[in-house]
Amino acid sequence: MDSLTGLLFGISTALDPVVLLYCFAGVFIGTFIGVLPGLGALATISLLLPLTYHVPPVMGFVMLAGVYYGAQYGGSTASILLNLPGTPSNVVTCIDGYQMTQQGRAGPALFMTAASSFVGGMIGVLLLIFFVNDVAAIGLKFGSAEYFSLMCLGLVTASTVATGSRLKSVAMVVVGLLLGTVGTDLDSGVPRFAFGITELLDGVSLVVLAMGLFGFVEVARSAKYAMPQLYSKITVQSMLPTKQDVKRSIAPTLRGSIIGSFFGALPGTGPSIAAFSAYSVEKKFSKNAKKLGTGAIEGVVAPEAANNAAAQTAFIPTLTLGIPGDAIMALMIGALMMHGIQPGPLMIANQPEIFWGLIASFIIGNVFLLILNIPMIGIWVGLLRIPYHYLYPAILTFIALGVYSVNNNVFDIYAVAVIGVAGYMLTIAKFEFAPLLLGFVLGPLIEENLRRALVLSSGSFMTFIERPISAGFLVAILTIAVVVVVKSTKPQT
Amino acid sequence: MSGLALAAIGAAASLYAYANYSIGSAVSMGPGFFPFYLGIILAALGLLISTVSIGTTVLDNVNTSFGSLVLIAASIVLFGFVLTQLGLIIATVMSVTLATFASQSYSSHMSRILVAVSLAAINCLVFVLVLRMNISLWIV
Repeated sequence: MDSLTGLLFGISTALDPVVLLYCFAGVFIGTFIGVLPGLGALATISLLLPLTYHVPPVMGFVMLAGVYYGAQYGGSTASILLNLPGTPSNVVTCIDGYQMTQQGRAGPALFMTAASSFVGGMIGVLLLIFFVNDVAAIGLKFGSAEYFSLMCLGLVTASTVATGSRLKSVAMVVVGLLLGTVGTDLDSGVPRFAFGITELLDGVSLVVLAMGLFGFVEVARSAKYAMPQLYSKITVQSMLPTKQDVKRSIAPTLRGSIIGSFFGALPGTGPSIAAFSAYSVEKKFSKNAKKLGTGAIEGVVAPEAANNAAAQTAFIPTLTLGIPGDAIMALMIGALMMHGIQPGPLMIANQPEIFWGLIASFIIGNVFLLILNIPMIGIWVGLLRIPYHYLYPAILTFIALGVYSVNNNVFDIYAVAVIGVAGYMLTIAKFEFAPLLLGFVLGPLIEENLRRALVLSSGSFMTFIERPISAGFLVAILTIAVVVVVKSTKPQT
Repeated sequence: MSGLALAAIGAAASLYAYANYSIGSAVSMGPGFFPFYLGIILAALGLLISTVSIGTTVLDNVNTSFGSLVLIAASIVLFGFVLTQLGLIIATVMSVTLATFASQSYSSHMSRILVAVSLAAINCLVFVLVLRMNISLWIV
């Protein structure tokens, strides 16, 4: 099916009233949790994962994806109004966004953010539609050796572009890989690291792991602290940007969209890196580069266009190769696999209604988001007035009920507490969880492809070098490793 | 410290895999092959982290509060325990009340109870009425 027919087919799926409802629910929840600082898309998607068991896969994924890109929209609101990033990819938006609020220009900042997010998101979707078939065609040529090398590349980029210590991120990837081996070995049927616990025979549950690391830890870390108070009032009239705002935003929005689309599609990088890169490009190339940091509209629209574009193109490697670009995409892949769908080049042919329906829903979702974020911004601003100490106990019970609902087993609730406490210790020592989750989801796939590649090559590791595509990925890994080592040994000047 | 702990976990995983599962060879990997080598890599990384960070304290003390960690962990465990014994309503009220002690923003016990009761109502509404989850609401 070529892209256009596929898209038309997808639109007919996505326009089904029930699917529309799930799409709206997804982007609505996404905006909601994006606006609230502290509760990210990762935690929310892990909370909602159990619910998708009870609905057909199309609706489940349309909703989960909506949460993901909806959070990119919502996340900028708290950045602009409170100087608190709603999600990690909105960190740079704080710089100029909060300055604009202090200058009394919060309204136009919010308006232009929504507009640039929409443009970025749509450009991302168009590129996604345009490229999926080609990437899937390449993916069909991949053997186990190529998949193994590509997944390693994804893990390496994911851990080296992380914000914290690279060494620690690599260690977290390995911990994730090890956690992924828990449970019955598919090849030999031997239970690994189960220690006689029946619940561990199926492995560590993705939902439990994600809820423990992202939900529980977040609640435990922020329960004690009160959120800053919000005083400004936003009306639709006060949001209208000036002609100059619009004129100055066009070029940065387009630049941001392109940069974002690029970083989104790379395995291992995602919206956060896209937003950072877009901001640094503006700092170098924008006409108003000098004003950046003092409340310039360019510094708000470029990263917001970038993170939304990246949120869409992130689905390219996820859906066509089955390789997640970031931790959230890893969750999506995990969710697809729980429904018995193997994301990868064959998905377009085997599950076209899910594949194209999902993509078509992105377009509809972005339109919903534009409406949610401009005329209805007042609701979200009001949301920032709810004190956090009413929210966190609610989140806590949602976590417990969410994991419980998967297997109706209290063991999972206790497991969340154990993983959560371990995760809390790790955050204190400044370890990050996104690489861990990526390693966890990719672990079984990496092991299987490694095993298959080695069986085919009669045990020779040369197969990874002799096959050109695989060798190319390995060269990329080596280059990244060399760059990182050189950079970190160079004395800081 | 954290590096050494990771190294210990890696070494333990590796040894455990070595002792209990067959490693096999590259051409026919046993169930222990992958975990064994991962454990070694993790141990090496852990040692590297601990050597790099000698003499530096990287602990994030700003946001650390073991008191609230214990309270939050206890309340989620309590929730799980009470849920199967006494049902959703009592479980929510008890665990939420406990969890509110992690915050300093509550001025009175009355407000804690109020939050707990309203959340119990919300949970019943959302999870049982709307999502039709199969949980008992009250003492079984």
